[in-house]
Amino acid sequence: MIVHLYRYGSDPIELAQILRERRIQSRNAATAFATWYTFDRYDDPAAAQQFLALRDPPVYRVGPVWAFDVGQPDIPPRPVAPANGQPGGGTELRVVSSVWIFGVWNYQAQRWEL
Amino acid sequence: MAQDGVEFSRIDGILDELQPYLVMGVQNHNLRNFTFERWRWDEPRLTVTWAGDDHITRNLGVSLRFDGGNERMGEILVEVNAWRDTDEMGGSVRIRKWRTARIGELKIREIRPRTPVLIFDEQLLIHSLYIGFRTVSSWQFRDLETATPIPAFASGRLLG
Repeated sequence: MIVHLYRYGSDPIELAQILRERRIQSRNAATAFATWYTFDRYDDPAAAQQFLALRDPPVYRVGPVWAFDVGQPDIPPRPVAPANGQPGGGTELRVVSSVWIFGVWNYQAQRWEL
Repeated sequence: MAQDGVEFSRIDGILDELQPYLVMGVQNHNLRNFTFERWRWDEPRLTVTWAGDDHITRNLGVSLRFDGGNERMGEILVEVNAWRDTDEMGGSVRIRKWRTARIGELKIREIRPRTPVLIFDEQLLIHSLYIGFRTVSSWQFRDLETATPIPAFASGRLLG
C-alpha cells in the first residue's frame, strides 16, 4: 500500500536543517532522533494542533513524503490520544530514520534552486 | 515541539527526575495493562495510558513548559484525559467522546546543571498525581461531556 506522510513542527532549528540539507529528522537525541509523522494534510494549523493534540499550532508542515522513503515505523500508525487540552483523533506514527526530500542543488552556485 | 533555547538532552534529564513520581502513582493506583511513553512530537511529556473494561481509554500526562525559552523558568503540568471513539451514522462519521482536566500547574523553582536538576514542590506533584489518577478513574461514559468529530483512523491510505 502506498501512502504519503506529513510532518508538522515548530522548531526553527529543525526547519533550518530541512531547508539546508533537504533532510527531515527530529533533533531530539533523547529519542534517538525518532520523528513523528501523520497521514493527514492540514491546511489550517489549528486543525493540526487539534487532531494531533499538539501543545501549540505548528509553524510549518513538511510533505508529502512517500512512506517507502521513510521506512518501517518503530511506533506503527495509531489514533492520536487527547493531550494538551486537544481531542486528538488524527493518526500518528514514528520512524527512526531520516528522510531525504526532493531538491535541486546548484553545484556552481552552491545553493538549492528548488 | 522543541523548546526554543533549551536543549533536548537537558530536558530529558528533567523527565528522568519526574518519571519515578509517575511510576509511584501507577503503583499506588494498581494500574494494570498500561503503557508508558516519554516524549511525543518532540514535546517533553510523560504519559501513562490504560484501557478499562468500560471501553474507555484514559491517560495521565506530565508535561513541561518553559517560559520563552528561559532554561531556568518553567512549569510542570499534570493533565488527565478519558475518551471513547464511536462510529455513527452507519459508520460514516467517527465521534470522539472525551473529557480533559488540567489537574496541576507547578512552578519550577530552579533548574540546575547537576543532579538533582529540578527544584520544585515535590509534595504538590505527588498530590496532583494522586488527584489526577483518582479523577480520571472515576469518570464514566456519561461524564465524557465533549463530542468531537474526528477523522476515520487509517493504518494506510491509497494514493489514487
